[in-house]
Amino acid sequence: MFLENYGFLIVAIVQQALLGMSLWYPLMAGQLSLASIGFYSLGGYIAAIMGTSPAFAAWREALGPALYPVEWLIALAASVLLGLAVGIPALRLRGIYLALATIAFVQVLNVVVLVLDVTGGAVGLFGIPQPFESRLGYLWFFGPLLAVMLLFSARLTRTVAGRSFMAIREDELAAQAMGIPTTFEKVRAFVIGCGLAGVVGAMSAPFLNTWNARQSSFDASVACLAYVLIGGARSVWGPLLGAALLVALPEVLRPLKDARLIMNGIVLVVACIYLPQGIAGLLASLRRREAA
Amino acid sequence: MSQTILQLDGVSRAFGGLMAVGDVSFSVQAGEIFGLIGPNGAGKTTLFNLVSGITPVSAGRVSFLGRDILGLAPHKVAGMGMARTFQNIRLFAGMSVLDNVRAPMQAFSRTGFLQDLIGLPASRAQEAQILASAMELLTLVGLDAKARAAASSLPYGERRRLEIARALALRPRLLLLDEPAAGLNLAEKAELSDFIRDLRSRFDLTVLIIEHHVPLVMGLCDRLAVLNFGRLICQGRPEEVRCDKSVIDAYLGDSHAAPRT
Repeated sequence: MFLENYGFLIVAIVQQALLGMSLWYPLMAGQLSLASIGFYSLGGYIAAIMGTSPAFAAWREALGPALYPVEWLIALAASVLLGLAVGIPALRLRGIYLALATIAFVQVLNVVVLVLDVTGGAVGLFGIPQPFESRLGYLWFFGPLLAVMLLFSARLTRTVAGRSFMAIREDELAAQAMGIPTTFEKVRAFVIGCGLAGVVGAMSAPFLNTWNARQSSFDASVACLAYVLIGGARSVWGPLLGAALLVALPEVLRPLKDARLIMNGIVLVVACIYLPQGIAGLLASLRRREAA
Repeated sequence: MSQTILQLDGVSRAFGGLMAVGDVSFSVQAGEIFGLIGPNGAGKTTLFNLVSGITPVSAGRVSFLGRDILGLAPHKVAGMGMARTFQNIRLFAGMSVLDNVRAPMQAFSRTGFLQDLIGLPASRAQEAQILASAMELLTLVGLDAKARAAASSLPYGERRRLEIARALALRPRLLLLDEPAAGLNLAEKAELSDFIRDLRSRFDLTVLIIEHHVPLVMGLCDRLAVLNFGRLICQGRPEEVRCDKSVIDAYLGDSHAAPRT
């Protein structure tokens, strides 16, 4: 009963946490990107087109349920390639300029999507085939991906590349002077995020059943960033904690009616002021205090 | 006999109308401890930034290990074996002491990204080796007990030492030290000379050092170059430089030699 009612919410938390993680990787290398939602949109369109377009009827016939992993891989490859094309010039910019460039990229993508036929224009694509009866079933898509990515993040902090990312975050000039190829590593961190966002998009198209340009709104971009900042940008668990709080909050506060939107804003402001390291940072400091 | 490690020919750098470094030429020989001194604002740190590729030169030529390094990205220059510290200490503050020293060792990584992620035996062996050499460097600077602490938690003197250990992690041929004695107390300053000499012999290093503390420079350096208002006014052995008229003027002030600031 609980699981049926809250199935959508649970899957939405995991899905949003994954989108938050796609911004977490560039942030690990000190790069504030808002491009993820664009790659999410791209991945979703790839899955939507492969799921509905007559041109792919033969693929659907031949592959059956194996079509889904094929969609993910194609979305991954397309996102990585586009991520390289966007990232190599954009990552020459620093700080707020990179954020602006990535916002602009998402806007351009949205316009392209609106004028193309294959994406269904403003109406978008609908009737995307669904592999699961219940919403909760999509946990079979997003759950393993989340587990893999958490493991990936945890390993990354212990690898040569992960240390280079963090060194750039801490002091880009010093990292350069210490022989770290900063542009290469920044592009690598950015592209990891792009690839993840693309795969999440490809998984989300069946989950949401329809796909259109509203998937990649500016609000959604900012929401993804908020998950990371509130959850904690320096912890592997940050995006998941942040998404859990911010996605669940409006549901929990439903009795407050419209006032709940105010609560959302209050949580954001309070978190920024009192939790500079996010929820994960708060938990870590509580644990340290207990140990001491 | 001795090999030229670093060679500057007519190096200049202007910031707008200000000639920060003008027509500076000198060379540093292998195994030398070469001092760069001069009053505040003489262009010493700018010269370091020019040599390490962080600031592009306006004119002139810099060659390192016989290769022209102008226009080379700073990380490539560093990769050739030139490591540096910063006047105002630029550690990776949010990382652990250990990771500060491990980060530059990416230059020697022989394993791929995916290999490292999965933790294949080659990657694990490499990690073990990186850890061992990082701990060795931390032991050398007396920070091995604090390896897991955050770099930002270290007191000032230890930050200076950590920055030197981080530079050594690049296994440099040439070490650039930008005012390593700044902010140290007298006892620490005295230790520093011995420490730098010890580093030179242990790692077969050449050292280029900016330093204000005159007794330290005089006792430590094999040769000195003196900058004033961006120009090289004198170079030679410490005892020669000490008696040079233009150096005395630059330091003590001389109304007709240069405008007072």
